[in-house]
Amino acid sequence: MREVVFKAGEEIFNEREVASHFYVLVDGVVEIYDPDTSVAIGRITEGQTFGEQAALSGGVRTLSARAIFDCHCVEHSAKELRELMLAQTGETRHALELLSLQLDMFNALRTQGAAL
Amino acid sequence: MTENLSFALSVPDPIASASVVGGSAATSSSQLKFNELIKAFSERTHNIDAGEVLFSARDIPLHAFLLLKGVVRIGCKPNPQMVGPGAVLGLAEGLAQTPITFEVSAVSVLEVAEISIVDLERALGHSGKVLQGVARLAMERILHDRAFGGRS
Repeated sequence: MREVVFKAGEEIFNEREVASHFYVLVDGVVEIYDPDTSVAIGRITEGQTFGEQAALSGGVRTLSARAIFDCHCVEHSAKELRELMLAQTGETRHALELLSLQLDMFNALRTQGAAL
Repeated sequence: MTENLSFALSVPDPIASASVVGGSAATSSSQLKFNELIKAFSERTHNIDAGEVLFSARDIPLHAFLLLKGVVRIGCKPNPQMVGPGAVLGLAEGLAQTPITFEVSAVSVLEVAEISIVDLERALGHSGKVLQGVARLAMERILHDRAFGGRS
């Protein structure tokens, strides 16, 4: 865990990067967006977590994040989250994976402009 | 059994086409979750006929579906969305005991895993504070913040 600062406009992570960290936003505003379509999926505000859904399972990210204003974040290793996941029973892990996959689906639809 | 994730069918799927980093396939986090779930539920699937309605608008789901094969229509005209393998249907709504806001129906014959909401609720209850927080965040982003995503 470490504190990190991103300047306004700076990329925090990019689509197709390995999800090695997730973040808690202490101060500032972060935008989550689809770099292929430039569609903004949403904004993260103070106290919210972001990047954790990809960190749960590992693999590469499916969206990008950038600082809208100067941002102060606490960066956590994805490894910690995955170790927590691996310590769960299969049923618990699968329930979390299902929920996370449903969110991925909704976000994929939102990048196409679907209103659900 | 291997299936490529293709839950957003109306555009070319960037998720299913894994990029290559450092000489090895860098699979998306979504595809990894789907691969795990296919393994977990492959023995517990059944088929649903084309045209069948999985959920009507205002249903509160007692079961969630993981779509393994086939195409599902979400919503009605004029802007229905088609989703394919990897789609998870009714889970957040069932856990929150919130009505589904759109109809979900089978466009083709489906192979699905049908999972009890009560079982999933029990499983999540054992996950501890941190992971319960992650689950709650996912649910909020699916249900309450429709203008917001969070896939990352």
